[in-house]
Amino acid sequence: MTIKAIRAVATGQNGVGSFILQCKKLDFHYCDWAGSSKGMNGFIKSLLPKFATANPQVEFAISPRPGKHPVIIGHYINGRTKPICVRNLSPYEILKKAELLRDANGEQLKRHNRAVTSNKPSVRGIWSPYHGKGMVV
Amino acid sequence: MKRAPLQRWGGQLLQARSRAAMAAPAARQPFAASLHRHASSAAATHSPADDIPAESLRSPLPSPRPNRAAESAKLAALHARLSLSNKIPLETLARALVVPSADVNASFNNSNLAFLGSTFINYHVLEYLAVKWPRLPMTILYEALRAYAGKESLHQIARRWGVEAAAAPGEEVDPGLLQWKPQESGLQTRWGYVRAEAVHFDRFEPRRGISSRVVMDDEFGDTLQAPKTGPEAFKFYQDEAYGSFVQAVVGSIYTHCGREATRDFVQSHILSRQIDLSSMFQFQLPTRELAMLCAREGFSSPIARLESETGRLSRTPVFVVGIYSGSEKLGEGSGPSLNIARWKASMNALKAWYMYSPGNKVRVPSDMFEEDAKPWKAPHIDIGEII
Amino acid sequence: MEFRALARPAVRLLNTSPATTLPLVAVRGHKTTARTKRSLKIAPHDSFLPNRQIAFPAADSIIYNPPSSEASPEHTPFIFLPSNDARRAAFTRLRHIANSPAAPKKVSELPKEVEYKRRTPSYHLGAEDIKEMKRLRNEDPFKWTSYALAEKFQCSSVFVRMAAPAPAEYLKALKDKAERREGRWGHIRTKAREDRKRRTDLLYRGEM
Repeated sequence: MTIKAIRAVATGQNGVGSFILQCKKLDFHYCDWAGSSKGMNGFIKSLLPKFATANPQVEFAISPRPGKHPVIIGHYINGRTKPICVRNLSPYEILKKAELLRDANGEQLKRHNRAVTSNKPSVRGIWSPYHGKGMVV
Repeated sequence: MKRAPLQRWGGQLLQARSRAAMAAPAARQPFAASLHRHASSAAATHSPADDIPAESLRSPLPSPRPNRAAESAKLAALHARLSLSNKIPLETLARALVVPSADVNASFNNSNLAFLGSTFINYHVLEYLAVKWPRLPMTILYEALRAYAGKESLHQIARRWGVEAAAAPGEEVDPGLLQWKPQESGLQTRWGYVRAEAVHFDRFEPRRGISSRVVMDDEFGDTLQAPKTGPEAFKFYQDEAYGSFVQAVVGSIYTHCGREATRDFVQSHILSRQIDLSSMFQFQLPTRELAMLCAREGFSSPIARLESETGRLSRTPVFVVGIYSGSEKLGEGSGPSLNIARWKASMNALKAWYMYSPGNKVRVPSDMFEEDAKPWKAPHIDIGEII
Repeated sequence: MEFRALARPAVRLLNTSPATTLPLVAVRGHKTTARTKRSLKIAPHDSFLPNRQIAFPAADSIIYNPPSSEASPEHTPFIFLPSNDARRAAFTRLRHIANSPAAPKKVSELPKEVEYKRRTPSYHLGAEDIKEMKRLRNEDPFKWTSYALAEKFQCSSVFVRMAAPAPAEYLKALKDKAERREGRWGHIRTKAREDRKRRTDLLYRGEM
């Protein structure tokens, strides 16, 4: 029994094995009076029921915010939130914004230069000057 | 694993639940078998105006009533997010979120479901590990099991499912929130074989050999944990609370959907995670152990050979040493001195021995439960680690 | 060739013929990313390309180009594969092909051995010798240290310590002496010793 074990925790990646939608809640705020909420009110009446039925993984909350511009706030599993102001937008434009929030993962936007970022080590290992046949390239 | 007793067991859990609900005070409502879900809280209309006077007379319950589960948008969203079958009612999921430290009544908390689920998680993970890496030493096997199915790992899984905890458990809390307190519940939720000498653990530390841990102690080869106090208590109970939710979800999947669904769920959510086994080894005498391995297996004794080197007389030399048995290379390592390189090479050779795997796609014993499964072919069984 | 060498300095670097010398006139540098990338673009090494000696409708060929990197413990050496493993049969077949790169080298072709102190048991001591060893050790442990006994009986000092352990008072005296010596160390030497211990620990955990 000369070998001891070092404690570790397995790491998971979303989408490997199972996929969990990262948006867990969408808040819709509207105003009954202001003109900038006209599109939002139409969206809540006409498009939201269908959108909510199609996305049962997301919790929807609708609440008035009198005297303010309409806003959609996405809450994500990583604890971040993303608000989008949808003043003066038409219902279909608001639907686009809601879909954008639903599909986001909550991370801050960053540039990805590679198509795939892998956390697997390279199959061929890290190049070392002390190995191989020392061939002239 | 026999099928019939376990199914009966799952059934008993639910029966006990409904019996207890009937025997409980009148304020407790029996299980509502409603499968109706609301995806939005705006759509949920709740007007229990008539039962308010009766409720104000009694003391509040420790956890939300089961019949409020159908009103919770959070719970419905969680149900859909996990892609659970419609056979699993929201009430069961709500019960899985009640940890014994919040509600000690076993008919309303997740202790039974969590125990059932933990047996399935541990079984599926362990059979996978034993077939995938047949030569792992017992200590590493236990730690690998813990890396997949331990409390910390299950806590992370629950966090990635988007489970939120209530600030404090209570009757008025949304049933879609995890109800727990950082304290001992008083209910027996940790299981294992307690050794006779356990009462003296405070005075001396008796020897616990690894082979005795196979029979005694808990599923990870640890002694049963005493109730915690102090700064580490919060993390301990938090891990346990979130972990018990994952276990209870697996338990409820078994109860309502059966064995195949449970196996698929464990594979997709727990076994799909990754561990780096090669970083889990800690050696003591690698060169001696490798020599003993070669003697045991009948290989010629290991010899270190200098593959390449640079800067021998400089401040930062690098030596690459390979370990050979006859003309077969067992492993290699590089280091700033010949001895360090030789030790690293021995450790790599030992890791290569212990981490032998028959392949990435291995058949596990539970695959044989499938209908028209191919005949079982015995996996590689190793004679054991080097002692 | 001349224009090519001017346009692609990387090619010039590879060209080892002594005829080409560095031009004395200043060469224009690469002012843009595109030009830099283009000048650094060189064809892959032959070992990455399929064999062109075979006539055109060539069968599938295997490019054998082992990585120039440290072997990972994920790869099980041939000798460690159990007899029922499919890889063992495949490797055995490969090794019997003439001039196969997978064939093991002869022992004479392998790199030279590292010299280090290793166990060379001769098993020449009997029960009488060990009895004598114990007697000497108990008689005067300060004279008959494990090294002195090892020299006398032609065995290792580790064996002496196992076969004829020293009396407790001698061990205590040794320990006290070591403690007195270590008590005189300054903080630099103490820290260096601690660091060495920590490094060894890291090494055995595979973190160094």
